[in-house]
Amino acid sequence: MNSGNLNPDKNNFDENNPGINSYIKNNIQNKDSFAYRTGKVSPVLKENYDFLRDAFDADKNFDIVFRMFKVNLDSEFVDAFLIFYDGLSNKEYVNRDLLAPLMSGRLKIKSPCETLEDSIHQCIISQAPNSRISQLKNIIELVGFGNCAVFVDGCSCAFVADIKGWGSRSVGTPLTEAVLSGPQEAFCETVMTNIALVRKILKDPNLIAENIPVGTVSKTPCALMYINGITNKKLVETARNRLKSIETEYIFSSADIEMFIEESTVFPLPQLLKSERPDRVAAQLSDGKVAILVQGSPFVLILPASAGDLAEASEDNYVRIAEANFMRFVRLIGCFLALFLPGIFISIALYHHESIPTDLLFAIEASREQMPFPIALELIVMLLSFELIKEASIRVPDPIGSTLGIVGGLILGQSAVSANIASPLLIIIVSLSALGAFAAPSASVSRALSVLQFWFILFGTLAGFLGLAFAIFTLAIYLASGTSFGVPYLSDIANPFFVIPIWRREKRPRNLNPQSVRKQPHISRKWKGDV
Amino acid sequence: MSDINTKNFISFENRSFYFVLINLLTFRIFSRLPSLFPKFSGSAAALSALFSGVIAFGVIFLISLSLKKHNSPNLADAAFAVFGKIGGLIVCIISAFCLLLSATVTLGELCHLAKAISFPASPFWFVLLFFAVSAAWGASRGVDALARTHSIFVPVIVLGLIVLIVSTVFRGNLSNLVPIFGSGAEAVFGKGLSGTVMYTDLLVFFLLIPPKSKAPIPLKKILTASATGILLTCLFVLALNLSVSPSIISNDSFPFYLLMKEVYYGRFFQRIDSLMLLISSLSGMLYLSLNASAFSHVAGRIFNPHRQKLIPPFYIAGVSIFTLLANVLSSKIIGFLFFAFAFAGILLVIITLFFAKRRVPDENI
Repeated sequence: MNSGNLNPDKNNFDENNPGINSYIKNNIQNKDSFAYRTGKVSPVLKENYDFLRDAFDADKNFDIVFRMFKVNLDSEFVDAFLIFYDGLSNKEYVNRDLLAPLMSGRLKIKSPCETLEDSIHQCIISQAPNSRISQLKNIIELVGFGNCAVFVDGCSCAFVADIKGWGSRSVGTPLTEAVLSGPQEAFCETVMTNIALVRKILKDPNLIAENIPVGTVSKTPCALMYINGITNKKLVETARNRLKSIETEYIFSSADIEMFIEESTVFPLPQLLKSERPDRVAAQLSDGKVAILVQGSPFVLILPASAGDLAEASEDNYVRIAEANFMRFVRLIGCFLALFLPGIFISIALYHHESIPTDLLFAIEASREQMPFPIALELIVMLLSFELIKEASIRVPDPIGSTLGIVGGLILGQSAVSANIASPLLIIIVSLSALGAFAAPSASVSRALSVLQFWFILFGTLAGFLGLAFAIFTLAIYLASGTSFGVPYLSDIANPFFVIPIWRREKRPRNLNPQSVRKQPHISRKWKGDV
Repeated sequence: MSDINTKNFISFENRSFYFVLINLLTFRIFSRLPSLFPKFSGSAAALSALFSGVIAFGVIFLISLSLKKHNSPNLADAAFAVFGKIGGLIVCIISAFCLLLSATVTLGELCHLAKAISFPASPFWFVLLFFAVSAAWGASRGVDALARTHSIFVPVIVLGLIVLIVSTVFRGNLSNLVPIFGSGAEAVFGKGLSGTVMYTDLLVFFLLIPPKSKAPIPLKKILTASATGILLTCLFVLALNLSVSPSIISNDSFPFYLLMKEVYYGRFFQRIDSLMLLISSLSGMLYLSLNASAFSHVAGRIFNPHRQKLIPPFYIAGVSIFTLLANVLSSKIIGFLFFAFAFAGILLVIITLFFAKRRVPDENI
């Protein structure tokens, strides 16, 4: 929507404009205006206008708005224009907070030492937060991020007002980390809202949120959050360096950032935690970790992550300690089943018949009597079938989801048994393994378990328990040699097993080497002494 | 000390050294060696094991004290400090030879045990492949990773051993313990002394103690871990002594396997052999990896190679070839060589270290 009255200067228009920055760089020698030569705002309004029309490719971009108007300065009218993206900036704010005060005649130069720039700045700052910027490159970036830039003839800077108004989801409820008891807030796609959600919980002036734009073109704002005085400085420095050193044009989500900054891409388990819960992120920050919030992503990255963190579920902190421990026990059993049960089954079925009672062995053999396929193939086919159902159920709309479950799970399973393609016991093994994977505290761990179980099936098929020992050992060594931001992945291997009461959590995790180790005194329940 | 060498030490974070030491003291339970006790001492096998344990404990105390005396972090450094460059190199070469022989013996025994339990029809090389690859992989990922892996698996291994001991010791026959001095006091305290070979792999531990820059391990903790490992071995021999008659334990039998067969919990848990295969394999893989790391460190002191990461895979390949050859010929030759070097070599060095005076100043270590 272009409302400009001036005709754009098309003489220097570049048909093959690859991007704003390169455009400025490539064309600076070809133009002789001040704006082109210096990359700064020119006091001559027309020059700025031409430059920006070119830079934003305004002839093609229908959503860039150039609006010409006259500033009413003590009954004298000065040419001006403003520029913003329709849909990214709030048009109501543009009219009410920028145009109205500048055109209404309220603008006056109060003293001889006050310049036109000061007056305009003072006039509109009361309406909208704004800053004076002279670098055109920075102005272009800010406009691209929903700000509105005002250019006035005679001023060698632009007034950039923060009046973002894009459509965004409001704070919702967590989908992947839902809890029965506990806060029901989840992050949304707006980084500032997300920072506020964390700040609201911690209320700590030492909580730092550094803005690190990532992406040479998209300049996606990423907030590096940590608590000064608690988090290890080297950890913060490492995270900052890794973020700053990302050389890519666009960043779309926190998953992109994760892939750019994690130590190993092929590591089988997540090396960074992802959470959509502000309370969880706040708790991790208070332990001395670092959080990375990415514009456009409702998932916050928490680093470093270790094996102990993966066993934690948000619910653990909101239920009674006995319940939490029981739930964790069940969860760990689930993970164990998901990871090892198919491997153990195949080992016993192929090599270690003596391990199971004779009656059970007969039952297994009888159920397999008419099976045409080798048991390993049978198991792999059934596991892959289940993964197929799981994958399909994610894609289909909710109302069909339950039907798919019935068709996939019940009918397919029953038919496979009836058609002698799979034995009933194998269906039980696959189901238990799948249930175990679902019990994993996070979706990423669940997916990792589903992949890793094939490693154990492979070696269980090759050499029974010896193969399993080999698979377990090699995987454990690999995990043990892994690190997440310098912290060994298995450094807190004892943590996954128990949830300890909050009054016993006196110290921050040792593996994070925080600046301040103690969270609370040894006797944190002072009333105990009074009784 | 060059950077290459300092990378090859256990960092001993999170008390992982405790588990490293326990595994080094107990993993020979899965070999044929525990049969030495009933072989020489008869019904006094447990007493003989206890005596060997006390001797081993004394040796550990002596080594720790001598290292402390020379202000040296590990045996290799102490050797260089006390005997100078040539002497240090000789000690390192002896250590390397011991490690090689020990790895060969262990690899062979592990393969034979696995074959005895579950793979009687499988070729020897097939079983060996799993141990060799895991050891090479383990050693190449670094000692820190290995130490951390110990802290995951050793509690499981110890738990498995305790279950085995408890399952058999209460079902044992007390008459197997009499006469108390078995084949006679001379056999118990003389020949029975050969049982100390169960603990010779401590050499690995004392070669991998971290350098001075890292936190030193308190003597008390080393002794506590040693006592735990030795106690577990003694309890295992006691369970063996109670449950299996000394007369049926031959030189070639695996006492661990014999004891496993005595376990009876009812119909469901009647046979736990294969589960124990898992435990013994993990223990062996841990040891072989640590052995390869220790060899890599010692080789680093001898040759100071640039590509030290390549040593473990080549070392394990060499060990595997030796093991295959020993299997074709007779593993007893290798075993005899190992015992000879283990006793003569290591003890000589330790005793000398204890009485010798330091020659090289600290900063040159």
